[in-house]
Amino acid sequence: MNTVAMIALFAFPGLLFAIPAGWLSVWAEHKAVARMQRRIGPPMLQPFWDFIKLIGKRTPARSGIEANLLRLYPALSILSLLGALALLPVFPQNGHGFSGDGILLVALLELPSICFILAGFTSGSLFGEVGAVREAVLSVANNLVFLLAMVTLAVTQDTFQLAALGGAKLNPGHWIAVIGIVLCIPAKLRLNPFSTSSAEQEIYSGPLTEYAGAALGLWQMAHGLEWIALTGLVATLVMPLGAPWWAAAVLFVAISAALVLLYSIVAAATARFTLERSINFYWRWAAVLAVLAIVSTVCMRWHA
Amino acid sequence: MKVLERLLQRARTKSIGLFHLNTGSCNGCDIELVTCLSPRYDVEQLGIHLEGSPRHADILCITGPVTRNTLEAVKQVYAQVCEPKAVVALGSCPASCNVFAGSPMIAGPLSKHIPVDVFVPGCPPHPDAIIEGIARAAQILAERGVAQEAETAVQQ
Amino acid sequence: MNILKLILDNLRQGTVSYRLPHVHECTSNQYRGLIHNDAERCVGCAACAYVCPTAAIEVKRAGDNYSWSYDPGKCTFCSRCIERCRPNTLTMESKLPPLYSAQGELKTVLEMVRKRPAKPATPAVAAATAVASAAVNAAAKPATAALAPNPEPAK
Repeated sequence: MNTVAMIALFAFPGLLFAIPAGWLSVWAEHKAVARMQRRIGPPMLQPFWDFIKLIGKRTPARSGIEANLLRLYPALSILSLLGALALLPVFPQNGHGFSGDGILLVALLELPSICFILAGFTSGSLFGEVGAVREAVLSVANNLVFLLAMVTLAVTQDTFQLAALGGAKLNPGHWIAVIGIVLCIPAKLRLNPFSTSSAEQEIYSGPLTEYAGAALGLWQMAHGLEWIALTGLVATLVMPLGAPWWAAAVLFVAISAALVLLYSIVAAATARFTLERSINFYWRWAAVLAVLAIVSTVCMRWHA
Repeated sequence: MKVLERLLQRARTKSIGLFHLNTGSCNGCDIELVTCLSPRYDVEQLGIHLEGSPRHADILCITGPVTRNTLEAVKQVYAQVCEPKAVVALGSCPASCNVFAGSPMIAGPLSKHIPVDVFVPGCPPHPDAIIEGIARAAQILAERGVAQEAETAVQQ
Repeated sequence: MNILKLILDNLRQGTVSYRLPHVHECTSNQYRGLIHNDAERCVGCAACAYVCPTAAIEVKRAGDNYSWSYDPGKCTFCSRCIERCRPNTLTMESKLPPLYSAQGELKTVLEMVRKRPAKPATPAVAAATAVASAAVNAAAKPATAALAPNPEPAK
């Protein structure tokens, strides 16, 4: 493992950067939504204090395989998101990736959603089941668009290696794919208008209803890391190529922050879609876009 | 560790999760509680937020005289809130059942069934009084957390 | 896009929230707060206890002694007692009632003695007082007659 890989895993955009940045993103979204509703909003350290308070809670004693599984899911989500963050091609020219790591990235980004669904079913609560079913359906809906977008990206560069996919390209297929990914992110982050699976108070707390204490704190940290990983993915795809490493880092943070603001505006401006409407949106409109993108890209490669 | 304890005590007053339980209230107190979250009062600036599940909450805000139908729910929800916890009784209904006292459908004032930490009088109480009540309950909760930790340390 | 215009207006206008902790200022002197009873002037008619819908006010009698008790925990702040109080001894505070931690902590109890009006005296004394009061009235009459306008023209 070379030094670049170690830095990517532990420092930037890995552990040391991602955890505070994730908390900052969660805070930024709450603060932006509050300001747009003429409220003041939480103080900056709020997600940190939430985490500390949750660590100090005494959780009910549970035994058996379910208890261990319930504790495993948030930990697994955090580990997979850290891996995904380490894979992101923030510094593509230093080349620490390998052929096909784009597929690994997609799998790692999908694992938190799967853990969320499994947590809902394992918790044995009715609200957990309802939330898990909603998350599963929503995941199938938005993954169609997400996967088609990733495949379009790969077809434009004729490889799945992230180092080749990263950076802004002149190819129109690249940009349509980026738009497709940008459309999928609110559903992955469970933000308005696609917040039906963790509908606040509509189904109590959905899959996380039975969670308490440190495990809940880890789920909230995983949510913050999801923010960073997904906005970071889009940031690496739109960054200009050939920037020095410090400029690349600054641009990464700046584009991620801009995306956080964009999603906050969308979250404040919309209400919650029903499941049917969400599926309609992804499978009718966004999927049409994605299918057009992949067909046109394949045609372009064939003729080139 | 002393540092962790002090940090925890601070965190318990800076991050407060409310769970709101209506045990047959006329909704007046519930409306005033939701007003605290509205832009005029905005308790989110103090770190107070409504939680969806009792397991995620610290402070239980209860309105309404405890009707016979909700008695089981009150006991179960109280058991589901994780320690350290505090209970705030909003309005005069949980304190004394107000005009419904003596009715066969009412299972009595709240303090007959669960320990209550703060009573906020009023019918309905003013949002300022509710916010003060929640802040006082958070102080009680932080001290209770310290006491509980000392107890477990002694036991071990 | 109406909602985007709304959001932009909201951002431009800023917050409407109070900065908490917010000290409540009662802007109206008709705000309904805790009840106070003036022990000097209360006559013990118990009309307030009769109309109180929640039995927050209770009056217990034992001969001429009575105790007036008020439990703010039960009060619904309807101010019926104040409407009914004829000697106007009951007043309402114009500020928020205080928080408390133990049930019945704020209950106030006043022990008072019923003030009876002066008893009528024996018959002889009554006649003497009647004559005395009549003389006072007669003496008052010419004085008022002198003050009345003279119908005859003055000469």
